[in-house]
Amino acid sequence: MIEFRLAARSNVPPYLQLVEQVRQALRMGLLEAGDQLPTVRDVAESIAINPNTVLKAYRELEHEDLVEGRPGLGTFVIRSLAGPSLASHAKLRRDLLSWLQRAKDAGLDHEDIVALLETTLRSFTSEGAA
Amino acid sequence: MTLALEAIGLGKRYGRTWGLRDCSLSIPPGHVAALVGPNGAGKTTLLKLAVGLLRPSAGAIRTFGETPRDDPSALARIGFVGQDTPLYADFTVAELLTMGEKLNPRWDQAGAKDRLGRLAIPLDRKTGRLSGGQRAQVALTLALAKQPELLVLDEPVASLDPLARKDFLAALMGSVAERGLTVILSSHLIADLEHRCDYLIVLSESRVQALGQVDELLSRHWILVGPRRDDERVAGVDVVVQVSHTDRQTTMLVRSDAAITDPSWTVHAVGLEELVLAYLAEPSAGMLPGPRPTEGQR
Amino acid sequence: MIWLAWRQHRGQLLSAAVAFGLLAVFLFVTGTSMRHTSTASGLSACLDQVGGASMVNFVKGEGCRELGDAFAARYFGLRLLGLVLFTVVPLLVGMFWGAPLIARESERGTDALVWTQSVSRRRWASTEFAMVASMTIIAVGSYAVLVTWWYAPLNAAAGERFQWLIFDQQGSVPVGYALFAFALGVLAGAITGRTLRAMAVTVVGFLVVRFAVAVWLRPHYLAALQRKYPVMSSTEPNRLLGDWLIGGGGPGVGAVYDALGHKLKGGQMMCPPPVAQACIDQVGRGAYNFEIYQPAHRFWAFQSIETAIFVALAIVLLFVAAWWLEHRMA
Repeated sequence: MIEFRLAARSNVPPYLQLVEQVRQALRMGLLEAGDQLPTVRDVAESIAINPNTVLKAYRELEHEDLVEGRPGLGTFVIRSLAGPSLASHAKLRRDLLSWLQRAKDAGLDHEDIVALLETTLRSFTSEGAA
Repeated sequence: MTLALEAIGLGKRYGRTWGLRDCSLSIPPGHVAALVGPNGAGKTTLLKLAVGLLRPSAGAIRTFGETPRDDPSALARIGFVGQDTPLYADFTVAELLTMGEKLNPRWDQAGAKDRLGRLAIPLDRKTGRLSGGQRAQVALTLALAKQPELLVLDEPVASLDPLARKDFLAALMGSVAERGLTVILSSHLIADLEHRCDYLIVLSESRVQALGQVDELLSRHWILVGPRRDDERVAGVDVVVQVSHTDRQTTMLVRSDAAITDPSWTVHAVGLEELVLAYLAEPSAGMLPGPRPTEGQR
Repeated sequence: MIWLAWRQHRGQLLSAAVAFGLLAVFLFVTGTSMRHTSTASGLSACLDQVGGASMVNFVKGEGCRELGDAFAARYFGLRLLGLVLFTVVPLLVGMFWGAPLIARESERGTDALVWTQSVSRRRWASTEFAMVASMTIIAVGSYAVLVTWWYAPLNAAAGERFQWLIFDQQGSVPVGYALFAFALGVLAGAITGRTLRAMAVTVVGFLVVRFAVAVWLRPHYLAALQRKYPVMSSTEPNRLLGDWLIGGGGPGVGAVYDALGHKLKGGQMMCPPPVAQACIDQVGRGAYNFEIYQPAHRFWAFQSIETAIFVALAIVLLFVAAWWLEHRMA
């Protein structure tokens, strides 16, 4: 079962943090369709947050059609976010590794690579949206 | 909808001084309300008035429409944990549970024992020999076992170490989730209240200074940062709560219901602690209309 | 609520039982010894012989004065102990059980615990007051029975049962005093909110009221009687009967009057026949002693009246305390 945490001193509202953590877990395959999310009470108690916040997060996830609340039973995942199959993931990963090797050979250090990645991704995303 | 707590012009006088004055607030059920303010602002007074331990000198206070003072049916719906969590030191924990069972109409003995068992608190130990954290948990268990609809907590975590504090607040949140409780708790430690409370009451100098739902308050307040200027009027801003200047820069915490379009200001969202501290630092800034001459003039 | 009141105060009853047990042993041993001495010295027999005669021939040794004095002198130490100890017992019980009743809840902050349970202050107060008052009655009542039994030989030997302080040690009044001290302690604790302060107030209030009642009210519970008896005679009132000589010539003393009714001096004067000329010269024939007194047989009536006074005071004080708790406290 997923375990939540709240980042201290984050500008992101707590309920969105929980939503994002569920999405992340779905993406990484830690949560699959049919899995049960912890009860509102258990989450409220384990990380000591207002249950209304948890309710808000679960409602948002329901709104995104990722989970479904079943009265008396709990909240269950109905859809996964895992993207294409493992095979294409593996290929992408290999491509990425060789690119990283080339970047390193070109003399980029860790921070340079991350910066390059972020700016390129940003412009790729905005271009893609346009 | 009956308000969980309602105060109308509530005041309490100790001799010549007013410990609390002109206090009007209403808390709908199902909220976790934080009561903050400096020492001597009247937090304990307000909470004790809410549970009938003090009699109002002026105005009225009601819980679920009833007056809590000496009214067993109103008291049955309220749970209280006072500062320093007083317990009968020579009673064992089990005897305190028996006391609660005998004195309250709705008593969840099994739930209380279960909760204490989960916290590993021995039932046969005298409460005088428990640690501060254990006593706070026992006091909370007693209050919860009454199965109240309103829980009133006065600095419940002030004397606890960080781990005990977290356990206490976690247990409290769990109970809120489980029972749909309304909670009002006072605390010095505003950081503790973040993420836990969705309703805020700021008391300052024996009066209510600010009041409202946390989400709403945070969405109505902004930090504005911009080049140094002395004119505090900004388009779209209703009230300037706090201002500070350096030689180059002016920072303001403002309340505004409209968007702030002036491009010379950088606008940031406000955190709960920041907001509370700003109000506490500026006692003349208030959220409420009333006998506050400087309201709206800043 | 009864459970709570019992649980909070059962320790006090236990302590009282232990203290009572120790006292009982002491009193039983000494009391039995005194009774034995009374019989062995002939005092008991003498008293039986005199019976209830109100006037006795003191010249002939009637009235058992000598035997009585000897007995009283022998047990002087015990009498003194009794006087001191038994005066304070009702005060101490009442004070230690009454002053902390409300004050300790305030001092320790447990008032915030108990008065937020689903119980009104009125119900709390009436149960707590009733519980501890009952304990007081049981404890001090048992004590009073025992002390009254213990005092019997001493009373008989000195005829002082009705006297100030002796009257206060025995009979039913200790229970009244203890209830009064208890109620005073409770009220003082409610008003001051501090146990020690309440105890101090209780001591002072207790002494003041007890003094006022004993000195100013007690002599008047029933209309006092007067008697006159001649100076030149050998019969005088039987002091060992236990009458309470209130006055006539001063507190606790009668007066001597001449035949014409002029007061000559305070005190008592007896000139048994054959009358000396000096006596005649001093007071003249027809002089008489005058006393205002309460007869011995009224002892229990007076005990009942005084007990009732203090119980009534206690009830009033407890009502005031309950009212204060409900309306004026915090």
